[in-house]
Amino acid sequence: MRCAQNSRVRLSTLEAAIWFSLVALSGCAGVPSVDQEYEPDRLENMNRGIYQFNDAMDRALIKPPAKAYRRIVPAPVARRVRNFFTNLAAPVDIINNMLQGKFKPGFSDFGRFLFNSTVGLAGLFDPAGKIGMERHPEDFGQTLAVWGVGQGPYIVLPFFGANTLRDTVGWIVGLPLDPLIRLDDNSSRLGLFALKAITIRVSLLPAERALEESLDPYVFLREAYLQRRRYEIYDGDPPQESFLEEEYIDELDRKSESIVAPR
Amino acid sequence: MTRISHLPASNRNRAALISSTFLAGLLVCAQLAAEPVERPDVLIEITAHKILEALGARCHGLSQNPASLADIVDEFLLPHFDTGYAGQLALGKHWRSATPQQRRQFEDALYQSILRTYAAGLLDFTADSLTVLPFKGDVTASRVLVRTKVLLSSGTTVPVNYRLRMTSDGWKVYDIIIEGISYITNYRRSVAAELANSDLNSLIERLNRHADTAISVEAPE
Repeated sequence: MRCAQNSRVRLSTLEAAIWFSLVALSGCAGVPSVDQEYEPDRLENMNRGIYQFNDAMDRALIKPPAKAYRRIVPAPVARRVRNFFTNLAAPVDIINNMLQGKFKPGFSDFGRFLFNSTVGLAGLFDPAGKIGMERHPEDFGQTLAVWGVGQGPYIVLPFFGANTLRDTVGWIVGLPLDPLIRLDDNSSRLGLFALKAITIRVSLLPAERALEESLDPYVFLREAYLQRRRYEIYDGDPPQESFLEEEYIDELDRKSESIVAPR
Repeated sequence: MTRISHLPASNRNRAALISSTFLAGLLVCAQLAAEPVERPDVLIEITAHKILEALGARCHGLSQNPASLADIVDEFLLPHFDTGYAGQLALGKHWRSATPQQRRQFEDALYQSILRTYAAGLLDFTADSLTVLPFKGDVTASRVLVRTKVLLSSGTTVPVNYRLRMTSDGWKVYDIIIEGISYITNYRRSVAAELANSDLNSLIERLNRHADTAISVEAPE
């Protein structure tokens, strides 16, 4: 934190190079991106392997402490911790709102960040939320999508899980902006990373029920991830998929046979 | 995203809502004549509150007994759920070639699965944590999206949206969308992946076997 508060965001040559190539990439990627029709999972074999690995790691190393955390840590404390990490992500939100031309939400999030970092004691509390200032989360993956970069293949990353190529690039670009990475002290950096990972894992625990219900957890997670990202890219209002407009065949059949047979 | 308040509507607002709903209802009634028309957002609000109240009243031991939890939700959800249409959307291109019996079996398995997932999720909600967002669509349309937000006991807000369509039997829900993830879309893709190397009968059999085991799976704490 000492570092996070003071360090200015400097772009190194490497970062500048990544940025430059991304802008160039977005230029030649052309128009179709966000509402691209469903594309098959080209890397499925590799992805399934990594998925298995992640799942085993999760069961052995990540899920048990997450469950313990949820059992032991009182809800108000857990909320403070979550608020703290959410607040640290605010600079990324702000920059990406601006990059997407969403200036009003961007400035609003900037105000939120200042308010919560000071009055909210380094983000532990969320006084901005209390007065109705909502967050406008945006990340580099979403910005790339809005700029017209295609989503690329679905990729399961070791440890980090579901992703697309576009989101992976976005994630790497965003890394230097993570204040945790800029912490000088190795042990507190590791500690905070672990705490952040646990917090994220805890937030996923309720979703496990749906995963257990699924025919194939791999497919379920992939589809859930892709749908969720599409929803985020469109700020919660994605165009409806065309199959949801289909007529009900049985109803049409009944009508055409003019049989009134309620089931 | 639209900004909404998490606060429950004050009595005054509620009275205004009810009376304006009533007026709107009258108008629509006058147009369609004799249909028991209700606004879709009002239907969702009323039904969701009924479910949450029933769960609240019978809170004890529900998390240990997912089967009885599902029964409670079923009682309120089934009358307003379009199992047939949801089944068709989820089965996709295979619906055409399926026999009526296969269709009924599939749609039942799908509904049961939605029911269990939805019911388990409801355990985290409390009755006053639900806000139905202002209706943005056209009430006279035959398909609508009703948006709600629920405040979980952990303090996070989750958007839960419902797709409804007008049937001869009033508005019916055919999809539930949690945080942008549509149940029907996910199920449709899973079924497509499954049927790529299997047939419908073995899929239905698997779904039923799945239901038997799923019900005994440990409930979320």
